[in-house]
Amino acid sequence: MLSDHLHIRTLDLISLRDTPVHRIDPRVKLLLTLLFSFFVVSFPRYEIEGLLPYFLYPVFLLLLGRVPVGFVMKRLLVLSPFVVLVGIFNPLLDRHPYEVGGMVMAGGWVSFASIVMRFILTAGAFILLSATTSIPSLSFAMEGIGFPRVFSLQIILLYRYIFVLGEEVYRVFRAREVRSFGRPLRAGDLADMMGSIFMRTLDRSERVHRAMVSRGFDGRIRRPRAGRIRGRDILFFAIFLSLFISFRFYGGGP
Amino acid sequence: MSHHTITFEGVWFAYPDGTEALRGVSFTISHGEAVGIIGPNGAGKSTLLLHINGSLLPSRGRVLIGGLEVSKGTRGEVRRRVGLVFQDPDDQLFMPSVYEDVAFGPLNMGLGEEEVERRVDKALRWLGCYHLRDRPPHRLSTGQKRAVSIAAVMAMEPDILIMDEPSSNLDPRSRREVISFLNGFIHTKIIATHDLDLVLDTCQRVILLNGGVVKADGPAGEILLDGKLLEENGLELPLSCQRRQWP
Repeated sequence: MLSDHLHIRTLDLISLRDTPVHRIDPRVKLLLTLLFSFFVVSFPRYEIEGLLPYFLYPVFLLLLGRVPVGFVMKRLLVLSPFVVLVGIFNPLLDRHPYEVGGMVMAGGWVSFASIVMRFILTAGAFILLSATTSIPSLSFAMEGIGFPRVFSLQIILLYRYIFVLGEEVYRVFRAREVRSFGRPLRAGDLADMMGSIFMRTLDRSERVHRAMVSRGFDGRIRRPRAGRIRGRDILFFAIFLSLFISFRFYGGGP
Repeated sequence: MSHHTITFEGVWFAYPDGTEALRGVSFTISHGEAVGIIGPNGAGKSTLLLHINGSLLPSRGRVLIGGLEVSKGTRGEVRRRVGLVFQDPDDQLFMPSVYEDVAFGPLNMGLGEEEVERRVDKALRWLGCYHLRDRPPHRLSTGQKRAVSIAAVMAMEPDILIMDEPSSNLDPRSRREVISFLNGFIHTKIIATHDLDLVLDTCQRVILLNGGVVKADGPAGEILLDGKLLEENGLELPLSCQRRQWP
């Protein structure tokens, strides 16, 4: 729990940097990344070569957004077991010979490799999106492209208070630590601690709501300078979208 | 009638668990007064403040703001006049950036974009936190959070300013900055606090609350120097008025 909290801090710091990629309108980035995944997923199951050009997009985000490679790799690794589980039986089940780039392999291995590539592309793109766009602006962007308002409000509040609550949880654990003289944490104690954290959270939510209502909150968050989409946002969007389309229909060999 | 007066008429309030937090509180505060609400823990100070902007409504009695009775129907109007700064700035700052948080109130009041921008800039400059405008609240120090939460209320340009423990958890310099801000605010202000020195520095009048009842109401200079009265109500002379016994 605490380590999650620390990971969020890293993400938070990276997402608040100021680079050309960070400055692109969040709505444009979100929509483009969704379209990107759509294109990547749309290829037939044995596709390898056709997917290669799509690495241009995540690499672009990575380099111009100055996101540490290790940060992306770590997150991909955490997610990778799911993908391996999905694809690992392909080589066993599908033994049709299949030719890729002059080499003949079992079809199962080719489709497994293709699944892994798609995973790296799509998951990588979304990790990079979250590293180059702050979570709150991302949730406002979701609202901007048509997601229900309830979601964005939930995410914004959750993201704001995860730092406050994380700090509170940490204090509760530390208070136990200094009085426990190395004794292991018993399940009963843990239940009491969770209970007290829950009560505090409840109290806080009431105070936060009261404070919001005191400043005229009526269920809707209004933003100043909602942000207009600028010429370079459109340019970025148009260039990459036409690349995605041409990779899909004109790439992939003869 | 002026927008800036506050009247409590025999206000009683009990929480759902049966705790009677206010038991017949009456007073009138007129335009431009600076009033300190003091009293021991659990005296009912915070409950009283929450009645001024309609966050809580009395079980008996009335609260009037500028002649308007506070009720479910008038709460919206009352909240435009009364700015309430909460004790814990983390409860108050929830928007992704300082600028957006300070703009939250004015935007909810339905003001135009330019007016919002003017007010936000003015409030941020007044509290000396203009340079923090693009920072997210969770990356501010406690003193900065306090200043921003005051700016967020000031941007609504309230007729009446209410603060709950404005100096809690602040280092001496941030505390001094809050005091000089308070002295620069000329409209009606009400400050609930244990920091009696702050009351001495900012308020002309003091209301002493204990057990949900007004025990004393008068000039700050009289009540805050009445050691016997203060001690009877779980308080002490302000630190600046105590004589230190050196060993």
